[in-house]
Amino acid sequence: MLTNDQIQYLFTFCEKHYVRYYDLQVELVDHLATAIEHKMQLDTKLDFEIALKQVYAGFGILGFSSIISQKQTALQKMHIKSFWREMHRYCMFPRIILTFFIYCIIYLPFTLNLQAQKILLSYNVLIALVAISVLISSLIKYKNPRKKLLILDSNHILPVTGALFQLILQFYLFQKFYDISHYLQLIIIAYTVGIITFLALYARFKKTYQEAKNKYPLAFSK
Amino acid sequence: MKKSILYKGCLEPAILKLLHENGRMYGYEITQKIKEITAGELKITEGALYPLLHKLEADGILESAIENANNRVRKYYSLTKAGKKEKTKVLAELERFTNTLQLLLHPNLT
Repeated sequence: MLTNDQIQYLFTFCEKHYVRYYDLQVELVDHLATAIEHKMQLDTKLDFEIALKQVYAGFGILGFSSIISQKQTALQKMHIKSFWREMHRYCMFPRIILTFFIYCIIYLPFTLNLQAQKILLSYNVLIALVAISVLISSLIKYKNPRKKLLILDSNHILPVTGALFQLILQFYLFQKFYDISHYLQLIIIAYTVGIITFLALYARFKKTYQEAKNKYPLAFSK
Repeated sequence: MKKSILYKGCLEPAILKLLHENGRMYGYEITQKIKEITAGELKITEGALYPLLHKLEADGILESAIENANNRVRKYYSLTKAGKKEKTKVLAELERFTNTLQLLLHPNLT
């Protein structure tokens, strides 16, 4: 069995070979360690570093780099799939009731005798305030782990709250070219979809963070 | 033709079948098991194995669990519910493929 120092050496080896993410490091370190132990069992005179060189050669000319890039691609696909699954839930019972409720809440002020421009300006201020408070509370509650995790690298809170600011930006761009009074229904639907998008992204963000924390507690420990 | 090109498409069915039979396995264990079963004929490189395991995990075919093993942590893979269905489908496709290949290689026997 390899010593703790030798295991630590393997972690450093991975870092030196551009594997900076802890979730990828643990898997590769375990593979390297088990393979080295096996080789050293078969040849008791085999030096640790020579065994490591032989095992690393098994990863091919590209070494770890193709593993890193393909894992990033796989995780991105997974995040996108997970997001669409959440969005789909808001189109199915029972969450479709919530979607309809959000639509009604957004639509209601327009049935009163209020200026559409002022209603939409209030919505944008409210959305901006919600985005900022969600961002601040998330940065406090969902702290970055001590060790970088690839699964969290493409799952930051900034793009989640960014979706809300996008909504505001798209509205201001739209009203530059079009008279909003003629497109109120479209705008209300766009706001509903924007809010649902934010809820889906936020749900995915929290779920991924919790899964990462459960799987890699050492990455979060002080 | 290089042997590795012929075996490339069989990697996924082989891994799914092994995980179905063994419950859960870790990366190095999978490479050694395949080498043992095929008497060294098929050797999976780490550069081929890990990207495939990560892809299958991202697709929801496999799930993973981290456990302590000696003085380090180890990632074990196992089939999800969807993975068990995928395994049946993929092995049936491979069997159809080998039957078709038989027709091409030994037409007189059919």
